[in-house]
Amino acid sequence: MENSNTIMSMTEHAGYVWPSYGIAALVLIGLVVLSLRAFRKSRDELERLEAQMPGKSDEA
Amino acid sequence: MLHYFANPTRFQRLSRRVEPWLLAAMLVCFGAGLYFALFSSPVDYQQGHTVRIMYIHVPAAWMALFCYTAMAVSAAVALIWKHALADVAAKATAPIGAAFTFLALVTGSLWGKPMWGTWWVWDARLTSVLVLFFLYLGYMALRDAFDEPGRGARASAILVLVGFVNVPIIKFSVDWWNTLHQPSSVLRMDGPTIHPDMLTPLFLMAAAFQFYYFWLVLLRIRRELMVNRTRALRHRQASA
Repeated sequence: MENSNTIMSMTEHAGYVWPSYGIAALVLIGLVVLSLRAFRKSRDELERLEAQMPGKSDEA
Repeated sequence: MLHYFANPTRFQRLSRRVEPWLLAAMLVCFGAGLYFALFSSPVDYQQGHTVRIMYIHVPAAWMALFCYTAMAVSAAVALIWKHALADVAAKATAPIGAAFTFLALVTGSLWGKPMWGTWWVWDARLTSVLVLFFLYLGYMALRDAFDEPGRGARASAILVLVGFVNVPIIKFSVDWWNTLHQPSSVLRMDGPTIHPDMLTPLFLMAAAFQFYYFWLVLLRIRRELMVNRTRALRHRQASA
């Protein structure tokens, strides 16, 4: 059992702890990136369409 | 009040105002939470450093249940009162809930191997969480399986409501059946059984995950509203 309190001294369980944080970061950041990319794409598409149809942009 | 903010234009305006604050709160909580989780919190006398997996695993599991409950409420409101925004909220929540459920499963497995000696067991808690993950995937697949979006929304809303029976099963599975998984140690009638030094990072990470959800779901709802508006404009363009 590891007795030291500091994460840097972790040896025995490093192979379980670091992948947990790594996968969490990958999944959460990945979802943000995908969502932002989809958001920008949809926004550009809507703006292009509204520019083609003047007078419709202020409708909900 | 709910009806007031359910107006898409009003919602977008409010959402744009709230999002930066949610983002800032999320970053602060993640910063503090990760510091306490990785550097400041003590090791467990039995589990050693693996206790640090708890600061990801437990908030992710809480969020998996929270997102599904939010989806079920939104689906019910969309079905009963035909609220378009509620339907969009359910759709926007699904991938976030699926991501949290995936994280709960994977980090649970990474915690289980050194502590239980196995990556997986088919017991009630683990199996019911796996079912929850498939419910999220099923919802997303069913929603997109119809040419007419309204039919997909209705069918998937019914699936979410039927699947909600799984939420109390997950919560009480550790009390109802024999399992390797430990019983509740935070949300208990007699108070948490975890040391305050470990509760601090746990609650900070839970808050970070909550702010993450609210920030991202608002962004995703705004995107869905734009998609709906684009579809309506195209329809009008085609019929003109």
